[in-house]
Amino acid sequence: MNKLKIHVEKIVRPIRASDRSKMKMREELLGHLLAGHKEALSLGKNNPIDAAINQLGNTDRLRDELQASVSHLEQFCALRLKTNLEQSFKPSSKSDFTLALRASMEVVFFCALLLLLPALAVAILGNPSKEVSTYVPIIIIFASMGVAFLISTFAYRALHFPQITHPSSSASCYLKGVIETMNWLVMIGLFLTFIGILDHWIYPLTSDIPFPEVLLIVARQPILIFMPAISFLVTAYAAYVTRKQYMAWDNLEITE
Amino acid sequence: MSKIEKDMLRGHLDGLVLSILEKDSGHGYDILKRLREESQDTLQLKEGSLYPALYRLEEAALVKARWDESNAAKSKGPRRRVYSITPKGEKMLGRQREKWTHFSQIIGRIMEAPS
Repeated sequence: MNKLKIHVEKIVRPIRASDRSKMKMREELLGHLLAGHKEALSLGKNNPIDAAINQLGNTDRLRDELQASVSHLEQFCALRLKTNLEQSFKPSSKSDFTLALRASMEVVFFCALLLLLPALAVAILGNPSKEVSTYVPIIIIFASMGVAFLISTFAYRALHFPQITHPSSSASCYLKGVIETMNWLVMIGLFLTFIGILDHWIYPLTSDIPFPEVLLIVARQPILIFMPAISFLVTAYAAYVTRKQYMAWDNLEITE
Repeated sequence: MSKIEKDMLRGHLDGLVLSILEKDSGHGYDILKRLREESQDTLQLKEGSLYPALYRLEEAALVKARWDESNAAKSKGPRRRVYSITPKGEKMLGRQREKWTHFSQIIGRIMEAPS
């Protein structure tokens, strides 16, 4: 089974796609190879494992075909946010600071693109709260997240990551999970910004609202605090569980 | 019967898969076996090529897939993904059949041996 898994991993690992898609490919290809192996055994073939692998076809060609089946949006997200992030943690001739700076700039740039949506809404619908510009807290949030990301990435590299992230070390998977969670923190910051903008719009409308609806306003503040906290905990846990699930594949040594 | 190799199949694989799934849903290996059986073992398809085709069809909403956990529970092996055709896929298959009939009639007429 290990030889079949290694063959699957050789095909799937270099593909630019989300973890979910890659896991789907791994499970399906492994299931296929196992079924092929079973059939080759029943037919009394000499080397059933190699027979199953040969039947699957040329590795490079299959990888290209699988890559082509991944949507451009998914490839973009996987390449820019994840693969590049992982690349940033691999040994390189570039300085730790340069790599950390590049990774953090990319994440902030991607978030700035997402920010275009509420910015457009403000431009079209107007900003009801004239006292404070909506853009100031947004800029502060993103600048601080960028700095936090830069520091964490730099610190991670400085912590002798080549030893930590060696394929045979299970610790790497947990740490990768943590780093991915950092990535999600940025997304949650974005979510907070959305709520903040909505809050600016809703507030002037709520002053004359009668009792039952006023409860919504009272509930608003805890929601503002707890929603991101809950999403963070859920996301962090999900990242950890997912990473644990992928650990068996990530740790496979696929070099000849 | 002579074998039909992959180059001749290019461009027809999606239609063949939809056609198989129209009869009954199935997982990858099962689809392949049915393709082989229906072609009386003449289709020489590199098995891996089936999966990119299935993902393309799924992306285009021509097929839908669900995970079948029974295999994993029974034999502790990987889960299987069972594919079935969607109404959009059925319409697409109908169009592909019409095109194929038209194409084969024209080619047949040209390729026909002189009487």
